[in-house]
Amino acid sequence: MSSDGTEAATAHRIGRVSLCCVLAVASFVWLKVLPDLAERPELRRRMDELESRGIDRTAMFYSDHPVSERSQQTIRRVMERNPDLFWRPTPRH
Amino acid sequence: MWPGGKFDCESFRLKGKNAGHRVFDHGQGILSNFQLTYDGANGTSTVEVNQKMSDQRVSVTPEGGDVERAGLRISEDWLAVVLGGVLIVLSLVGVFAGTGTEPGPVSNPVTDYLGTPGKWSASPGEAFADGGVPVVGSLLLLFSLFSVGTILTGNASSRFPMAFAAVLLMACFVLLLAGQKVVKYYGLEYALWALLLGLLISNSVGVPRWLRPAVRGELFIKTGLVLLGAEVLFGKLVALGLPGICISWIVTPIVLISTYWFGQRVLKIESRSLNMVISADMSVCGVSAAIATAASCRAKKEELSTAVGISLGFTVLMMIVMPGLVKTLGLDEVTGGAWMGGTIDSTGAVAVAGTFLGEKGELVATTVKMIQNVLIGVISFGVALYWVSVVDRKESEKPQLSEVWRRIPRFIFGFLAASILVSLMASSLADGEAMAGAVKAGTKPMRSWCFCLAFVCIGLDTQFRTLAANLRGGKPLILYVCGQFLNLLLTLLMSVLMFRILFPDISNEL
Repeated sequence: MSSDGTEAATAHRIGRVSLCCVLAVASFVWLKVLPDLAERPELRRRMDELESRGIDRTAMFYSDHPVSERSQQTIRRVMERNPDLFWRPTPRH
Repeated sequence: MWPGGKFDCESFRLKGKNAGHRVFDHGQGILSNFQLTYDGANGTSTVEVNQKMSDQRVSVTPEGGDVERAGLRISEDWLAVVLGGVLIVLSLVGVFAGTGTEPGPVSNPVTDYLGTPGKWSASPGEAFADGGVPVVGSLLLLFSLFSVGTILTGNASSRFPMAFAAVLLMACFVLLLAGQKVVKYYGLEYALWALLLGLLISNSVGVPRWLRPAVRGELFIKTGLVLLGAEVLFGKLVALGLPGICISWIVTPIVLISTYWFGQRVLKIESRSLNMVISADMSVCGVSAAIATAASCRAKKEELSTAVGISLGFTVLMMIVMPGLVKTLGLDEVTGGAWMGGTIDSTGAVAVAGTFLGEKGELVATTVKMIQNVLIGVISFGVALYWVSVVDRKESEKPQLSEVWRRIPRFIFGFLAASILVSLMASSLADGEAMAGAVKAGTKPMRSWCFCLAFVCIGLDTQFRTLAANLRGGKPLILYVCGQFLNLLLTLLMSVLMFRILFPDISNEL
């Protein structure tokens, strides 16, 4: 085998080992560390609170979490009560 | 470089559409066992020839535009429009079939069969608590739709389905990782994990040859954007009246244009597309804006990855810092909420930061961000127009409407058509809002799948060294920080002007 071929084979073997190591660490983190963290009372309370408010921290777009819909409904109710509120400036002097 | 020698070919043809003539000097003819990959972002085509006589990869650079192959009926852009359109029509049919003619609640039975893995805490199995039917349904639908669509239109070889099945499973794995509750709590979205998984594979063992046919990041992005169009309701632009318009319609474009100008004139960033994608994700709404503008200006994959990485990093920082800053400056909830909504990139992070201010702060912050989300349609169309009429134009060419029309990315029309259709539906039908919401419920999971597939492919197609090259000299970071500083300043001034000077009563009425 040429030296280039040997180098490529070595690099591939290192790559495979690296991939396996990262996957092993990730498995440990996702299957052990994160589930344990999720059981901590303070974190759990905060996560439940966000969930009950319809907030998704990872939302990429407004339609990804229910809180946007709730906000719109509230503002729409206020607008119906007072149509000029959001359109006619009323500066205080 | 095309290898020397004449190929004995008869059905293979590659030409630059915009150039109006073939790009190859020679090499036209039959390639009995070949694969063609067009990378729109790089403007290059790669032809893999699997023949004994020429078992090598060759690359050519067309003079702009799409690549055509004999027998090809539609380009990748139109294919994305068709695939996205089929999914939107499917959801529409579901809404009309599920709702019926009698007055009653609006429903979409399609949503029972489409979805992404759910949230889980202790065991990944919790993500399939509903029996996994929506996930399996989505996988089957995407697999059949993309396989049939790409092969029938000549956009992929017969090796696509097997490769696509593997990429779909990777995307499923990523969505499962991102669905862990603690991961979600810290705002680490699937785009990040998809990129990392792809990067890990491509930089360790490399992308196997059999997987290559399905590494089609651009196709998935464009299809996802057409689906996103169904969620962009133009009526939402006026959801917060005049203050919302001024904060989102006036400040956002000013910051976008100024940051782009700063990057070009002051920092002299070489890549205009990188400059534009960072400017857009910082000034509009993070990852979704980066995806849309990257597709509009044909940014390179690693440029999108760089912009998304910077945005995700700063989002976490701003989500923590901004509520404290609002309180330090003594701003009221409403003004502070508007300020955060206009400046924190990620939609999810805005809502979380808003909760630290209180109910009114959260309400205004999420609404301002929603208006910015909707602005994506206008911004991406504007960027596409600017790109084809100014950036891509040769100096000797006169700007002509026909030329602009020929060059503009076609998926934009799918995006706008979907947006206009659902917006009209929401505003003109009796139960329009609810029906638009039901359509959205059907297209949203498909959009997430498409974007996740896209980021997996981008990772698979990216080498660490190209990412490092983008960050060399720190210019992208400087651009982001300077642009964000301007964004913070202008949005603060506009929020104070709107909610404390011109519309002070809003705070009391909410």
